[in-house]
Amino acid sequence: MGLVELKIWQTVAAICTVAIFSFLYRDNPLYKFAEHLLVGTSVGYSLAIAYRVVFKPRVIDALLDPGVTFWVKIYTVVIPTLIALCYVSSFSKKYSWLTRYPIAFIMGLSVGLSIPMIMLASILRQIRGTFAEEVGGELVPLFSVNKIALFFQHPSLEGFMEALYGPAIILGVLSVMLLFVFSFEQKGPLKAARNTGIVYLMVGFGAAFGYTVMARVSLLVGRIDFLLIDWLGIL
Amino acid sequence: MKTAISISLVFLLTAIISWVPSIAQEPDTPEDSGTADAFETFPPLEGEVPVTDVTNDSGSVPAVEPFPPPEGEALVSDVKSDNGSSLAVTWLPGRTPEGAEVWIFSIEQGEGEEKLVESKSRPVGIERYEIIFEDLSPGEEVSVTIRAESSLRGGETLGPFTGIPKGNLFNTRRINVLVSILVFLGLVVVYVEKARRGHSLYIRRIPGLDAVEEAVGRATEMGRPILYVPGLSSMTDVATIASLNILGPIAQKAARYETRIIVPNRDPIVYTIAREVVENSFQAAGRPDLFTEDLVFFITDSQFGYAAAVDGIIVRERPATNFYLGMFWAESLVMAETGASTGAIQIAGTDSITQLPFFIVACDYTLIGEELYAASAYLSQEPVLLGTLKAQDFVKIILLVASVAGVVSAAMGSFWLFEVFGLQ
Repeated sequence: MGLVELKIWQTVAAICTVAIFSFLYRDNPLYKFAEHLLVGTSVGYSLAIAYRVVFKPRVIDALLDPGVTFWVKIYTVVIPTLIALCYVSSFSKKYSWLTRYPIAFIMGLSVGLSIPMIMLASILRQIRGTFAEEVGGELVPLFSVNKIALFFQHPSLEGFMEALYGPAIILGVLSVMLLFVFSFEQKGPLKAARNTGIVYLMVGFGAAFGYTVMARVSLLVGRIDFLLIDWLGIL
Repeated sequence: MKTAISISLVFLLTAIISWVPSIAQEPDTPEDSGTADAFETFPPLEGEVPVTDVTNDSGSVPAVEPFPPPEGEALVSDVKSDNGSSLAVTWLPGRTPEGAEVWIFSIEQGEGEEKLVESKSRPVGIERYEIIFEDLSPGEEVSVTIRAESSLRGGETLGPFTGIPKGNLFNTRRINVLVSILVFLGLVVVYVEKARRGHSLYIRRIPGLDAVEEAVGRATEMGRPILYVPGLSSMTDVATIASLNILGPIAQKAARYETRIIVPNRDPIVYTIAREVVENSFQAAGRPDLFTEDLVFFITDSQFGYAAAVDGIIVRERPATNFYLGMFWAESLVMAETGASTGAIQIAGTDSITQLPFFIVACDYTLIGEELYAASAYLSQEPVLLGTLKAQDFVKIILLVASVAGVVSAAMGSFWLFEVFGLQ
């Protein structure tokens, strides 16, 4: 790419960046133009990708492949394509009910595949992590009386953190889990557990917020760098 | 009863799927004991390597004593509870040839262009080797050879031994998942039946959901539309399914109050379902005439293209109420902040932990994780959904009790509950 060409494209990118930033002031024609440009190009691009990555290799090429037998083509290409084509029926008022078949297929498949995975990864393994952890191939209980006793025998910040680590995790898991039980009003001692759960959640959210904001600021710095250094060359 | 049977069948099917290894495969942790670790703890070689003087030798091959063949017991066996792509080679070396540095385990499967050849090496000095070979073709014979190798003296091969990898219908390492799903299924059936027989099932107040009625009413009073964003994920996401469940009651309320509801979509399949949901809700509310095609529409599957378009809708249509319910990523604050700047009442809900903080700061009400899943039951008060919610609560209480029991037993040095929860 030549220097002139590079500058032209950098200018286009800079105008688009400024157009999107102009929304910070108010909605304006420049922002509308950038918004429609972004939506239009992204739809066009994804259509081309869908054709090249999905439709051509998995339907057209698969149908024309001489190495695949007739019945295999029927099962693996024709039937799935027909199910997918049912989506197109949504353009017709008379046959739009056909869209329910691919929807039912997708829903059934998604739910059927996700439930065992969620049960295993998000419930059983998470609960197991509250009991103990594997350190160097050995199981170490998360709640260890020895660690607490060791801290009281030889008080130090490191020992305190070590003693607090397991109980803090266990308390957090139990109180947050209780927070999401909807079957009874959380009064009395349960209210204390609920409040503890809320504190845990807010501490977690605060940390996530700070971390993400830092990442966003670095994105902003990248954009400003582009405008001032790459495009204008004034820094 | 029909519903209970239907739910039972769905869960039973799911449970079976969880057991069939070829369908519900999580990345397997190969049972490769004494393999990778063995490399890290490579014991220093002891003794002397026989080196012969070759100064007068004219050729390049060192003049060494013949390398004796290895001896030992080899067992080639199928790996259980898999989809037939793995084979285990167990090797108990009887006598390791002097000077040997590594054992090389080689396999061959198939013929011609499809022939698979793979080797794995392990250092000598371990009593028992168990090597797992993966990505094999199920049902085809595999030939295995074991070779003791020395960098100075070459090597000698033992074998071939043969074995056939076979697929298993059930994954016994996932039996804990099956039992958990069956327990959950049983509880769902019990509570759904209870709800159907008229037992009152108490659900505590969820402030974010109580505000839904107020939010729809506010839009009606102001004569402005409602914006409903069903997240940016696909139907494989539980949050999206929950969001579309909530869309039904909200669209029904909107139709009843004759308020316009705008539902922009990022995923084409979610768009199709959302349109069905809204259309059915308008019919259920007795106002099918109010439904028009342009209420639910597809924008783009580009994340920030979608966010920019939703921002445009917020500032141009100025909805009185914005719902952001479903799965969100980095665009959550972009949309929620724009909505807040227009003075709209905003209700958000997601199970994305990284995006919840942004909704909490920018929205009036936020449904956190499980509250999003409970919302559809809470809003519709339908017995089937309420029964499912009750069953979920019961499971949570079981898990709470199990957690306490597991913590106590682990503290006392017993890890049996850890093992039960961690079969894999």
